Amino acid sequence: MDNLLFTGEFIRSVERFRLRAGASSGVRHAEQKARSAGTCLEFRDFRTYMLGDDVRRVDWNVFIRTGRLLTRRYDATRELPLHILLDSSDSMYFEEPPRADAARRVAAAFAVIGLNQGDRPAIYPFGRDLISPLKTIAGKNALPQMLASLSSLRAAGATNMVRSLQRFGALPLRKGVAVIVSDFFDPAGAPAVIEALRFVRHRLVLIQLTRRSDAGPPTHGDWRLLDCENGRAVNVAMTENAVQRYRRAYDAFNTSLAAYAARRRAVLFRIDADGDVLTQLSRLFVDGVLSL
Amino acid sequence: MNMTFTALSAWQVALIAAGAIAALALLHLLRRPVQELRVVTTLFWAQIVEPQRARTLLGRFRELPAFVILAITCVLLAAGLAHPEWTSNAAAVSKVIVVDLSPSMDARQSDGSTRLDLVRKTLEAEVEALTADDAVAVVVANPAPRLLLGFDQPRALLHAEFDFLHAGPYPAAIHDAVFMTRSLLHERPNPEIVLITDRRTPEPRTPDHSRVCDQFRTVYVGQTVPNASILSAIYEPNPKSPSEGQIVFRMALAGNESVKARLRVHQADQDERLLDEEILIEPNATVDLHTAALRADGRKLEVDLDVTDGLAVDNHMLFMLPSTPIIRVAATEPLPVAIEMALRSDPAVELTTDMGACNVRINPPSSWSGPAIALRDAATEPIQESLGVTRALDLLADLTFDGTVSTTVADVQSTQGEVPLIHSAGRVLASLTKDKTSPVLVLDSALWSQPPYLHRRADWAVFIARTVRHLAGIETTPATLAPSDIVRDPMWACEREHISANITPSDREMLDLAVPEDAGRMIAATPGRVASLGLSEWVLLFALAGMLADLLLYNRGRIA
Repeated sequence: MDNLLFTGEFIRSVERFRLRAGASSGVRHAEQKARSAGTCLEFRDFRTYMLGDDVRRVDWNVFIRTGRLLTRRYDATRELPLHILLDSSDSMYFEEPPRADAARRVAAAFAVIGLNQGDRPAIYPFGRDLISPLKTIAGKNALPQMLASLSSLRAAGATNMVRSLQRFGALPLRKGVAVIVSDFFDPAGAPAVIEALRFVRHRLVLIQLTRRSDAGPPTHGDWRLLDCENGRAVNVAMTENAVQRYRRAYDAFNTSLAAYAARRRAVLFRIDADGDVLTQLSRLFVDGVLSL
Repeated sequence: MNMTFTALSAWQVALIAAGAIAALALLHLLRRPVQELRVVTTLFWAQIVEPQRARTLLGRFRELPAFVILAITCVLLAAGLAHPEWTSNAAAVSKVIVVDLSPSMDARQSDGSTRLDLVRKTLEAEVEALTADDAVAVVVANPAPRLLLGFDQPRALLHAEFDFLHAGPYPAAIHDAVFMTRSLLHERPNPEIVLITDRRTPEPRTPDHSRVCDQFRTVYVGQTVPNASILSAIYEPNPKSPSEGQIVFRMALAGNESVKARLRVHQADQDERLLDEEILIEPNATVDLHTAALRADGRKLEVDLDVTDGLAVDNHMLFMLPSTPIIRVAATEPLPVAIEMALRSDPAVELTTDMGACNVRINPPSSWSGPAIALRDAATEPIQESLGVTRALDLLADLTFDGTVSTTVADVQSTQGEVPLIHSAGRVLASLTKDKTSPVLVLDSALWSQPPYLHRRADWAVFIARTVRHLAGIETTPATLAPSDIVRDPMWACEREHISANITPSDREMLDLAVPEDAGRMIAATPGRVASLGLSEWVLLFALAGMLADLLLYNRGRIA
C-alpha cells in the first residue's frame, strides 16, 4: 500500500480518526446514527407495548418489576454521505512541492476515515470545472483503488471554484458532509467563493491549504508578477507600504472566509502545505473525533 | 501675432528642447529591467494595484504617458527660460522721446525722489514697451536740445546715459527739441513723438507740436506742490554813488497756501550775513527784499531761500557783485557815433535813457546838477595845426593817439574853472570844467569830425573811459586803463552763476517756476508690467503645471 503520497503509517494513523456528523440520512448501516430508530444494537429508550410489536423486544425484567409491558427501542446507524471536493487546479500543482500533495493527503485521510466508518466517501476533484468523482465501494478494500486514483490526479486547469461549487450543489446527492480541500484562491475573489458555497447544502468542512509565502511576498525592487494559471501580469514596486497593503488584503480574505464559516457553523481549518499533514489533522480531530 | 525669444534665439530654444528630449529618451531606453516572478495567484495584488503601472522613479520613464508629459514639460521650461514675447504684425514704429530737463526736474516729491527719477522711470518704461522691431531715439533739452540716443545706436547705450541725465540750469528749449525731431523722423515709418515734461501749461507762442507729427503724446511727471523760489536777483547801482548798489531779490510762490520762508545772503566762505530776513509769501504773489548798499567789488555771494513748509526749487544761487561800478550815462538825443562807441567800449558804462537813475548826463538841461558831458558842435573850422595834450590831469597820461597828438605840454589859455585837455592852435577841443558842483566834460565835435579823426584811435576810448569815471567820482585818480585793459576787464568774465545784472522784467517771466494749474495730482510714470504676466511667465507656469501633473500621476500610482 505504500506510495510516495500515502505511506502505510499515514493510513494507519488516520484510521483512528472518527467523523461524527449528528443524524445521518444515509440508508446503509454504518456508524452514524440515523434519524429514525432502527434494529441496531445500541439501546435508545423504552416505549409502551403496542399491539403488533415484536414480543422479543419486550423487556420482561421491567414487566416483572413493574407489571408494565414496555418494549426496547434501538438506534439505527446509517452511512455518512461524505463528499470530498479536492482542488486540483493549476495553482495547486504550481509550487514545489505542490500544495496538491498536502491536499491529496487530506482528502485521503477523510476518505480513509469514511471507509473505516462504513461510509462510502466520494472525491470530487475540480479545477476549471467539477471533474468526475472518485467513488468508492464500501469497505477497506476500496482504499487502494482510491489512493491510486488520488495519486494519479493531475492539474485540472485554472481555478474556477465558483462554477465547480455551483455544479456540485446541483448534484442530486444525499445530504451529508462536504469537505472542501483548497487554497480558495479563485480569481473571482472571496466574496464570489463565499456566494458559491451557499449552493453546497451539506455540512461543511473547509480545509484551507496555505503556505508561508502566501502572506509574505518578495520585497524590494520592481517586480512583474505573473499569475501561474492565467498569466495575468501585475507590475509592482515592492515597498514596505506595498507589502503591508498586500498583507492587509490577504488577512481580509482569510477573515471573510472565517466569518462565513462561523455564520454557516462550518469547520474552517488551515493546513500548512509545507508542514506535516497528519500532525495538523490531529489538532482537528480532537481526541480522534471531529464532531460536526 | 508672432513669437520671438528675447533671451535666446529660436535655434537655441530648439537645441535645448532637442537635448532635453534626447536625455529623456536615453533614460527611457536605459530603464531598469523588471524582475519577473510567477506566483500562485495575483488575486491580492490586483486588488490593490492597478495593472501596468510603473512605481519607481526610473520606472516612470518606462511609461509612455509619463515620458510624453516629461518631454513636454522640458520643452516648455526651455521655451519659458528663453523669454518669449508676442510681437505685433503691425509695421515697426519709429519713436522719438523728448525729455525736458529744466531746473524744476530737481524738485523733490513727497516720497523723497525727484522728478528726474520719474523721468528716468518713464523713459525706461517707454523704451521697454517697444518691440524688437521698433526704433527709438532720445532727445534731451537741458536747456539746448541734444541727441542722447540715435536710431542707429543700440538701446543698451541708453542705460549708460541715465547716470548723466541731470537737470539743466535754465529752462529747457522744449519746442526747439520737438522741432529737432523732424529731421530725425524724416522718411521713417510710423513716426511717434513722446514728450516727457513737468510743464503743464505751455509757454506763450508755443507752436502746435502735433504739426510735427500726428502721433504726439505728452507724459507729465511730477507732483504739483507748493513751490517757493527766487525769481530774480538784480544789482541796482546807487544813482548817487555808482561804486555801490543794492541787490533786489524777488521771491514768488506757486501754490494754494502762503508759506513762510527765510532769505539768507552771505559772502561765500564767510558766515557774515548780509541779509537774513523771514518773509511770508502769498499764493501767486511776489515779495521783494533788498540788501544794504554793497560795493561793486566782485565778491561772490551765496543766496538761500529756506522754505518752512512745502518744497522749493530754484532756491539757491550764487551771485557775483560787479567788480567795477556801473556808471549810467543818460542821453536824450542820439549820440554821435564816436561818443557812443567810446562809451560802449567801457564795460563800466551803461547807456540808458532813464534820466532819473543815471550818474552822468550828456547835454543835460540846466536843472541838472550832476556830472555831465557836453558836446559842443563848434564851428567847422578845420584844425590847422597839430593837436596837443596837456598834462594837467592824468586822464591823458601815456595817450598819444598813435602819434597824432604831440606830447608836449604847453600852457593853454583857458577860462576860469576850465581844465584844458586837448587843444590845437590855442583852441581848446576838450576840457573839464566845473559847472555848479559837478565836473563837465566838454568836447568839441572837431575831435571826431575832422582829421585826424581821433575817435578811430583806441586811445580815444581810453580817454573817454577815464574821463567818465572821473566825472562819476568813481576814482579820484583815474585808473590808467590801457586799450588792452578794456578787453581784459573782469567785468567781461563769463561766470554764469549769477543772474545777469542787466536782467529785464520780461526775462523774469521766463524763469522756471512750477505752475500749479491743478494742484495735488501727481502724474505717475507709465505703469509697468508688475501686475500682468508676460508670455514667458505663462509658458513657465504651464511647465510648472506639467511638473505638478506628473507628480500627481506619480503619487496616485504609488501603492502607498
